[in-house]
Amino acid sequence: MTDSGASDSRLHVPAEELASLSGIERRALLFARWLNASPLHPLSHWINTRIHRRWIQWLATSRRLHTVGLDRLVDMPTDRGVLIASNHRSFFDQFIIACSIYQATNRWPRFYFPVRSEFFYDHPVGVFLNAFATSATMFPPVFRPRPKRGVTRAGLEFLSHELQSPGTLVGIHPEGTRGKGPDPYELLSAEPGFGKVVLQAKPVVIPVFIRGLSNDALHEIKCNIAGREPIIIVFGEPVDVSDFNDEDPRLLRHQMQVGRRVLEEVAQLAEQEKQVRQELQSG
Amino acid sequence: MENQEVFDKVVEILKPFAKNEEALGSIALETSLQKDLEVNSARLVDIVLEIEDSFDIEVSDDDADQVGTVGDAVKLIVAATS
Repeated sequence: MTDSGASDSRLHVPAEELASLSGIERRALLFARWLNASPLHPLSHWINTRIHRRWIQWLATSRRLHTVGLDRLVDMPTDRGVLIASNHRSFFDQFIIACSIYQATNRWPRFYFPVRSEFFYDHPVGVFLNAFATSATMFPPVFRPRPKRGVTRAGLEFLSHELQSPGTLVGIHPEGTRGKGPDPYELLSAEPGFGKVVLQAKPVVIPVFIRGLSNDALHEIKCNIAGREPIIIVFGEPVDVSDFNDEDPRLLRHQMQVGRRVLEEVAQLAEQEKQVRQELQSG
Repeated sequence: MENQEVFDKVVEILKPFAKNEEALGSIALETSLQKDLEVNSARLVDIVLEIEDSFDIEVSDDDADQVGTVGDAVKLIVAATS
């Protein structure tokens, strides 16, 4: 299957790159791509932001979520897309951040958050969850194995293109993977792909620090019922990376420097989160 | 710069990243960074950045993606410095 004649709002994957995927990966990718570009997209976005968001919040966060700086994001004037760059400790980080944003505003009709292809693009349960619980918002997938990296590159190009439009919100974890160490405030290095998207698209980059979620959905529901274990999300000011405007986005060094800059801002927000948590604990 | 000189320098760069020290002893152009030397995939970027510093070159992400073996790294450096 080739992409000739596809509209600009679609992920363009050359046929030879698609051929590197397994059958289920290919079908999952093409379905997610179709849904995100189809006339059904406004409906799936409405389902995500009005239905899925509400039950997720009601079940898991309604009694224990605290946000800082979200107002700034709601009122911020932008002529580009917005990239939410947050730390990553839990599978649910991006879901909860997105739910908070879409509770406050519905100003971005297109929302994507790229995920690793494992599970959500190569396992029937994951494919089902992505299709029906997030309306394929977890898109485009990031394929790690070397022969499939062409698809990942196409995904990064797609995000860079979409982020040039003010109607797009993208959530990315610059670290690329969850931090699993004992210190929840420790950040990993940024992945070069994150920096590449920033350099190519020049979006508004909003650093975010989130803490308080585990990887156990049932535990999250129990905590919410009991109103314990607060979840704190701190939204920062846009990160200024304008000094990189004339740099070549293809160069690894610049990609890494941009990623480091953004993560430094995230680390600053972690300090703010500590203060908020301390205040909550002291009543 | 001679290929052998580049190779020797690359080996020096790889040493701290290689988990398989035995494979380091028999390192050759065909040696795979991940399979043979057991370099953590997350550290591959660090290796490329070290190469950039050592040889005073700039590497694109696409070129970095092509580096799977010691020979690939040597080829990349020779092409960038010649």
